[in-house]
Amino acid sequence: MPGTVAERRSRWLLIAVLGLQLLLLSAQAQTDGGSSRLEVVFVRSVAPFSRAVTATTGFVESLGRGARLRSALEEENRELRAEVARLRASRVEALGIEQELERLSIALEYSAVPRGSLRVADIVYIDHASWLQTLLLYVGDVPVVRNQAVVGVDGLVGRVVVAPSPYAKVQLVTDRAASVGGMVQRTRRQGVVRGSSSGSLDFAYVPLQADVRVGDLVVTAGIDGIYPRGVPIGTVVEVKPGDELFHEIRLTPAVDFGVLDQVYVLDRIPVPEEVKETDADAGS
Amino acid sequence: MPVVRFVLGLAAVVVLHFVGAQLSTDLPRLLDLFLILVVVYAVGGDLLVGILVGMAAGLTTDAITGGLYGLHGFADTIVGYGSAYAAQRLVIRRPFGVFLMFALASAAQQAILVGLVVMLLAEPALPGLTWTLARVAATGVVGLLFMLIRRRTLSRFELWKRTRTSRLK
Repeated sequence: MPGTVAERRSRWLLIAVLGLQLLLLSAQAQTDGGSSRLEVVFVRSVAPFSRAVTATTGFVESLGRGARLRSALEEENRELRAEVARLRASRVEALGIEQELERLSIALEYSAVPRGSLRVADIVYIDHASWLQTLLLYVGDVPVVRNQAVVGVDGLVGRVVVAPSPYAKVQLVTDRAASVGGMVQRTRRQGVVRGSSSGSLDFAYVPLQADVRVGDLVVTAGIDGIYPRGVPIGTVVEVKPGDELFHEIRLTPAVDFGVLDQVYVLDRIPVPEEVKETDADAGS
Repeated sequence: MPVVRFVLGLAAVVVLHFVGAQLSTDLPRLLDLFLILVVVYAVGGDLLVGILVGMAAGLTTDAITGGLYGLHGFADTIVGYGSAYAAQRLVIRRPFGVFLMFALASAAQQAILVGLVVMLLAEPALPGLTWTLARVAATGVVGLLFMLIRRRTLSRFELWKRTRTSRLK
């Protein structure tokens, strides 16, 4: 094919370049796709672009996420501020009722059980999945004693069973061996709350004629010498007539043990052992 | 200077390719920006430029995509040369002609790639006809748009330069 010198040169260059590339390709095809130095050079040259683009798009995405998160947080902040205002108002109302109660108590010479104080403790280990249902707390230098109540923000957690300072082992309310004096908040009907193997709670010894409904809140009755009155234990999720004289009531615990990271140990004057009724007293 | 401009253009195409891949995994399958770059350079009519630009852009494509290294290098070298050869002999000014040039370049590239894969591999994975047609059309449209924008920008720049020169006089 006739042409200028430049054209002929270009044609020879094209043949050479294509020949070299064909050699490169056939070598790879024979070795089942091994990488050549040329490929390594090109990949190394291109890889930083990929990283830069990925990093940039990641940054842009994070900016977008940040903006969305910010608007969500602003919304949540508004809601929380409104809730704080509501809670402040109800606190003022509750303080008024409390003061009135105190005045009435003084007038009636009523000796209420001291409420005690709360102490925050970090959870070191929690086993709510197995049948052991225990919790290990770090309580620091201030010692705790057996049978001190442990509560969470949402309700009752359990009681201290072993207290090797600075740790304390807590029996969860869902433990099968645990039992708590409870009462239906709506009707004040009392019974005994026990742990069950399924992770829920049984509310026993509630007579068939007692009014218990699904959705009722069961709180501590304050009659077992361990737990103060009024701490939420759980909500009634099932009520069935039992075989004998009592209802079969199932509760879902007020506390979600799966999200616990801190609890409160209740410091209060324990009921002296000598005044507690023993089996021997009951028999005599 | 033209080499630096080409390297910068190639780098921009690499960035655009990765950005496209981040936006949609189908975008790199649909559009070969490297081929558009090759044709854009080759339409200058210089055969040597066509060969070298085709080879460089093709090997860069091979570095990004999987498969045998050099497949796109081989195909784009031929397309670069062919486009430059065609540009020497044809005057392509009308939009449909420009579209056809990019689309044919894409079709030729696909045909060469398929031929190579069939020759070199025992069990070749061939692209579907729909995707191939879509790729040809997309390359044609994007190439045409690029050329129109480029032409308009260059003419405006020329006008601005002329106005500026006449004011100085």
